[in-house]
Amino acid sequence: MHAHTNKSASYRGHLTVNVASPDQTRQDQTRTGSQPAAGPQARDAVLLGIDHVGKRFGFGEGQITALDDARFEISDNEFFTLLGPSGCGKTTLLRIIAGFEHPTEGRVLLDGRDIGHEPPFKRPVNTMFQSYALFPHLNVRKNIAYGLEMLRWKPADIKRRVDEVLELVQMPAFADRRTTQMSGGQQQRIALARALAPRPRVLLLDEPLSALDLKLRKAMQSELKRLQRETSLTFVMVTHDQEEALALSDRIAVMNKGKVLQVGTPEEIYARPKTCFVADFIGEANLIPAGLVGLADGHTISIRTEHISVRSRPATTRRSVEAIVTALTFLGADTLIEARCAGDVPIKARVRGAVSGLAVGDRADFAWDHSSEWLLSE
Amino acid sequence: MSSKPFDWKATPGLSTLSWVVYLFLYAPLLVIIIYSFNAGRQATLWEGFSLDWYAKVFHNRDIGIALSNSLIVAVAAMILSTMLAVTAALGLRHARAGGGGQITLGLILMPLVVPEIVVAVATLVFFSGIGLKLGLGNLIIAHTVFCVPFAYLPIQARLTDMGSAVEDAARDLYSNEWQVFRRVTLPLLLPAILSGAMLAFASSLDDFLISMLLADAGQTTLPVYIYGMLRLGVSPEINAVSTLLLASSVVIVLVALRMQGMTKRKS
Repeated sequence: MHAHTNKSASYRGHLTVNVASPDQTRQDQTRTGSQPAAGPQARDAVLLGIDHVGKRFGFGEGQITALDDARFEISDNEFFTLLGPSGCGKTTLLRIIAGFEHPTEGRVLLDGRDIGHEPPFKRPVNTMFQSYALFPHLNVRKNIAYGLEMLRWKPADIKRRVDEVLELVQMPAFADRRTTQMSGGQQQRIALARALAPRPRVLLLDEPLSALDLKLRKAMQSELKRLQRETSLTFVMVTHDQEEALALSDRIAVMNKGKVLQVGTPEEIYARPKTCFVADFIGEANLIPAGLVGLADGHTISIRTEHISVRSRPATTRRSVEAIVTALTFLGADTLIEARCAGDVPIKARVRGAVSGLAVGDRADFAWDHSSEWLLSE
Repeated sequence: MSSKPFDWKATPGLSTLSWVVYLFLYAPLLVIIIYSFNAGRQATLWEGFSLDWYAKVFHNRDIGIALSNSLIVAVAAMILSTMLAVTAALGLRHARAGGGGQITLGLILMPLVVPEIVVAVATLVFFSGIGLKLGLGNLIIAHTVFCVPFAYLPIQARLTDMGSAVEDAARDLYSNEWQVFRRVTLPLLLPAILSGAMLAFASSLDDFLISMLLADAGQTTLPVYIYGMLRLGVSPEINAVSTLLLASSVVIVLVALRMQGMTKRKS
């Protein structure tokens, strides 16, 4: 409810906001083929604009391009994720938004104002660091109050706000504890509280869950989602974990080698990847030359492993390729069948349950519905 | 048996050998300490317990002057070298390999490897060459130079340990550079700074060679004075002074190590 109120409030004065109708959205989702990804969905006003931002380190021959011509817009109240493998430039971009690095090209617009060259302490943007970076010489309360003291809040207001955010991260009993005596998960909540306390315009999260074990990570995922809803803040998260990105984000920017490859909702990026890299990085996808199934040569189609069925006899009504099975891996709920088809192209299928009557070296037919294949535009 | 990997801890006689080495290293110190409490004049003949020699030391005006010289020089060198070490450590934090910072770092640490006698002679020649006559000031300058690396090393180790994330966090939370230093860097660095200062103080207090060559009449430091006493024969008074010096050094170094331990536990 809280989030909703905030949303409608931020529409005021932004009459040009593009609001897609529910029908339009449904149409977008069922569309197949190589059409470009759907246009902007119903969205709040632009809060943060990344405008042709580039970052180069060094000069001349030894110059390294960490970030190349990144451009996208993040809306008010959005959970936005920068997703990519290590070294893709996502952390550099996060540090540019925080102000620890300055862009060599382009502008960083916050509420329409270029903040690209302002120092971090002048930006209403807070970061939750990967290493938490709590101040070891201060207790929990002092850690959280730090930013507020710097902003010269009144002591009474600081106390109230610290109690409020401790409540928010469900750690009210920890105010007077030393941060050095706490577990990783507890430290993380304090780091989150500290970054939330000054009510920043944007909260940056640098690989927030990477240091936690699996169980805690799952719990913290829903916690982050809840916090974003309750605070109706804009979250910008950096991660290399595609599952995490799909589960949490309103929209994702997939990055590789300093470039932003695709920006879209998790559904868009999963179902309609633009490039081979995106198709391959998000979930398990088969990348098959289009010529192999009688489509235009020189293109690639992607099919999710879970959309392929394996038969011993060709199916006439569906798209199919013949392949020789190279490995069968039982994964509990599913079985992963790996095979090679003509031209040594690898193909993988994930089928429910155990597989009988199929062995390594067998010929089998890998078939899928036309609707589940996706022609990559690049 | 032969399939067992070699384990040096299982060497026969290892513990006996260790005790022999310890005895060899520390027996002379022990002898000095014991004989500083001797009642008789003989340096090697035990005649009963007494604190006479300590009393004599405390009433010896020359020893008092030498001690106060030593303390003035050590305190001044400690303060100056620690200030230099802190600024150097902060400045050289992000020095890249092969850059100018690396060279500076080498220069700072040089007194650790250059033979002290060379430094002493060079400093003496240099000071008389430029006609520098600042009395104890000369000594303070020379001591500051060789104390810098002792103060520098713990501070640098702490900075490396600390990383830059906490300072980034402070910047992120609306602190300008001065506030970051004042409220985060300095408090976190303080134990290392104190520990570095203690080590600098102890190495200045113990120094003999440089003080010996540079000190003029009336600027004798305690180690130089003890050396002078020795030439008149070994008296139990020397044992008492040495024991006092040893005790203060041990206390200072223990405090320094304790502080370093505190930094470790904090991070």
